[in-house]
Amino acid sequence: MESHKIGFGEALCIILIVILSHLILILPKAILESQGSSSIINVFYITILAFILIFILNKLYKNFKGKDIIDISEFTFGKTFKIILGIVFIFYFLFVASLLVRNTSESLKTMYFQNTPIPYLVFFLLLGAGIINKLGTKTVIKCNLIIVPSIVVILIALFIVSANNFVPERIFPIFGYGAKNIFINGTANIYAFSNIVFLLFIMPLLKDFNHFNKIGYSSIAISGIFILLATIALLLMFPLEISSGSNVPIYMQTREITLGDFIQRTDAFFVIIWILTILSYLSIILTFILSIFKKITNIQNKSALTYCFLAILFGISLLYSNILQVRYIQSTIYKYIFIIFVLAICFGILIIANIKNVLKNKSERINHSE
Amino acid sequence: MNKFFSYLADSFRYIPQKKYEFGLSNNDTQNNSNSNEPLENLNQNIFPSIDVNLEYIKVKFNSLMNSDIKIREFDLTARNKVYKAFLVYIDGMSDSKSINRFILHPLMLKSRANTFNKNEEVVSTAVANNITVKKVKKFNLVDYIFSCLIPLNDTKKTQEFKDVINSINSGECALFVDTIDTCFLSDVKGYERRSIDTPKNEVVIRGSQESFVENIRTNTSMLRRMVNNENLVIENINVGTVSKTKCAVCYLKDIANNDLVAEVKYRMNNLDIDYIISSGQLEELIKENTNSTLPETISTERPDNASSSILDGKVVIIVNGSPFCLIVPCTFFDLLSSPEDKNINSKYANFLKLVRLLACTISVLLPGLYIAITNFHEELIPTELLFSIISSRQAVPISIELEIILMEIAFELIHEAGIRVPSPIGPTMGIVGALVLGDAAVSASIVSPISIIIVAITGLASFSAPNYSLEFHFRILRFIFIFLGALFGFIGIAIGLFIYIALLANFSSFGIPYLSPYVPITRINNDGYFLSPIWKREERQDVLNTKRKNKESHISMTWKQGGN
Repeated sequence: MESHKIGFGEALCIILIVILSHLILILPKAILESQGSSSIINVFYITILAFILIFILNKLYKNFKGKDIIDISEFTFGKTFKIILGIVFIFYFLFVASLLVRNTSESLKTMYFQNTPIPYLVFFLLLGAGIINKLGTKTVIKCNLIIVPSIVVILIALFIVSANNFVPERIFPIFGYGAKNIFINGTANIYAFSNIVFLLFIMPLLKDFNHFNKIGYSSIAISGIFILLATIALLLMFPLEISSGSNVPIYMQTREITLGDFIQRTDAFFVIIWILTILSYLSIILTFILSIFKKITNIQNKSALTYCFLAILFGISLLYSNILQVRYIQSTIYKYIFIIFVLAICFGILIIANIKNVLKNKSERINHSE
Repeated sequence: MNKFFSYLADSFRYIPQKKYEFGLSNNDTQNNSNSNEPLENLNQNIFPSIDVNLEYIKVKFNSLMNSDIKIREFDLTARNKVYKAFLVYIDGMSDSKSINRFILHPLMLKSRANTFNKNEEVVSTAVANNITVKKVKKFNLVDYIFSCLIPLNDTKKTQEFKDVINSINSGECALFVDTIDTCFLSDVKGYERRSIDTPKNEVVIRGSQESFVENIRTNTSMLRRMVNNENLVIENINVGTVSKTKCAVCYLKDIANNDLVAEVKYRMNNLDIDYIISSGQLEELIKENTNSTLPETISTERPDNASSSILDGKVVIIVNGSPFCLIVPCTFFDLLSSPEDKNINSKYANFLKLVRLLACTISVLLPGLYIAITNFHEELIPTELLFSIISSRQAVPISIELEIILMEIAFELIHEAGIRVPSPIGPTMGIVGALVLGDAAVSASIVSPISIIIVAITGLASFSAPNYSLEFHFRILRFIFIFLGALFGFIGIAIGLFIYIALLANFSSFGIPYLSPYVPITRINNDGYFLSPIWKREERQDVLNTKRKNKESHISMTWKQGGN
């Protein structure tokens, strides 16, 4: 991974695939569930918060060009902490991926494969991601570069086509459950921008470190637009009771779309896009897991471990007892884990690292003057 | 079974990466250290004795058995002295008239040239004791024959049998003369060859109507004529230890990337094979990813296509005996482009390119999608149509998957038979196969009409792939998607698509990513899959890293600005 450098487009697609995969499965529904008709305002609010986070992140990363959070943790607290943080991040990624895989498999089972056991579906999804990962990081990133723009175009088209079914009155009451709910409780919805975590690891991959700022702001802007579009579509298309209880929100949207008399339901075509998104996301997350593992263990060939991590992921995915548990974890527990992780631990490490860096520079300057 | 277990073991155990890295290594591994010993030792110098030379040639060419090996012994007259000599050539490959007129006639007949006994040239004179000692220049028979007795423009001297044998095999005529250890090789090639014809497989409306032929020199001359630049380099490389097939590597030395040229030559020089007889064999031999069905080179029979590739900074390989040349490197989008695209207005070309892209997608996915829809996603189609499909299939005794697979196989049979049968029967075969058999199969309720429609549309779409190898690739891929669609519906197709996209992204041709300029993102320079107007295509493809980036100035239509 370290040997392959990526440009602005590739990096942006890596960050975007995370948001797109969550967008298809749970995000708009989770926002609607907590915010009701004020979801649009909440999305604007959390987007602004995400921009502020990116601004702070850029400032904190200013002195650590070319380093990811693992390198910075080593600089701050030493090698042992680096290994601990690496393991924690590996488990975090495994946890997030397992939720997504299980949710997808459960949804697929409900829609098309009622008689197929869940382990089979999980296995096939992981196998697809595993095969690609064996081809190498470069291939995963290139593959993602093809898939993300296609999904972006399709989602925009989906929004435009489904606009016929919008009922603008559903936006009211615009403040939903009240200002406190939007701006205090709704702050936790910042987890919608969970792709920020990947920004913490992307720095060493960049061809030009100066692109880091641009990637951060662009990814937040594009992610914000897509969350907003998905939320608007879901809010305006269905009554709140239906939309907040829907399984796969964008799938629901596609069920309503008809193209003339010939194609009456486009939801089946949507499955292709959905699977491509999930597989691409799984490949990316697996690539990051492997690169973190390589960083903390210095193994020579990380691709040999692809199937080992897939086996762990397979096991974790089957730990959840049912779809309801998965959705509950995704929409409630996951958001707090993200907040603790990104806002507390990572930003904490970055702040301490900056202080240490300042002190180190100061002492070096004093030594130099003596 | 063993293969399966070894695949499983390979998947889970650590295997050091052995990926071929682009670039030349300067170590000794370049020499064929593991190659077989040469069949015969030809590193023998020519003997001064003509009898020994004659015996050697007779043995090497099996002249007692080979009826077409002609050895003509005669007496040669040079400056009134007579020497024994003989000529060797292959009947049918050399022009007898040229041999008689320009070799035997001047050498055998007593004319002014060979009877002329010029006074010895005095180099210096010394007088001692009233005795004049003259130092004269020694008479050199080799130079004399070469410069006075063989009035042919392409004649060379050699002292090695290796050159003699190679030259005779390629249609030249060898002259051995007694007392000298030099042989004269005269180019008197005169074998029958096909004249330049119109392209049979890459037909265009507005482009050139010339195509390559089997003769390498005719082909190189066409390239010379079209490129019309002194920087065009045509390097000869012989491939095959037995056949020594002449191949030409053609590139523009001031445009093509040095690494690319070196890589092409490296691969061609390091082939340990007895023979090649076509460019198709060479294509397989210089391919990096040997397991893939994707082509890594563009095979073309059009000199204009080859010339424009050379001018764009690519390398063209011509194989003697093959009317197709290879263009390297190539991308997926190059393979989807037709030679016609650059001859017509860019807007027309883009329309055709869009149609082609759609056709290729249909060709690969349509049967798989049909199976997936009818088996897993029936909700997608209107109820009336669904009823119609069901009713049309009621009497059909086989499942949809099997029906489509059988129809596809039948289509492949018609395709193959149409190519193999003599050309006058070909169209009849198509009509009998497609119309009569198809209609009869529907009437007999063996297949449903909708399957015929699906397979026919797929077949039609598959012919729109401009590259023959790519068409084959799509044909194989179609069966994979049929299988995936039948097993898992759209989910199987999506997983298949994902893996296919990744494989395409992983693939490269001579170091150039297969999906460039789009993946990885490089500068498209208005020369991507869709073409911009010719006056906007200012730069060569970025991925080729050519020495000269621009192919036209910023304002190419200077007449609009009042001329230069």
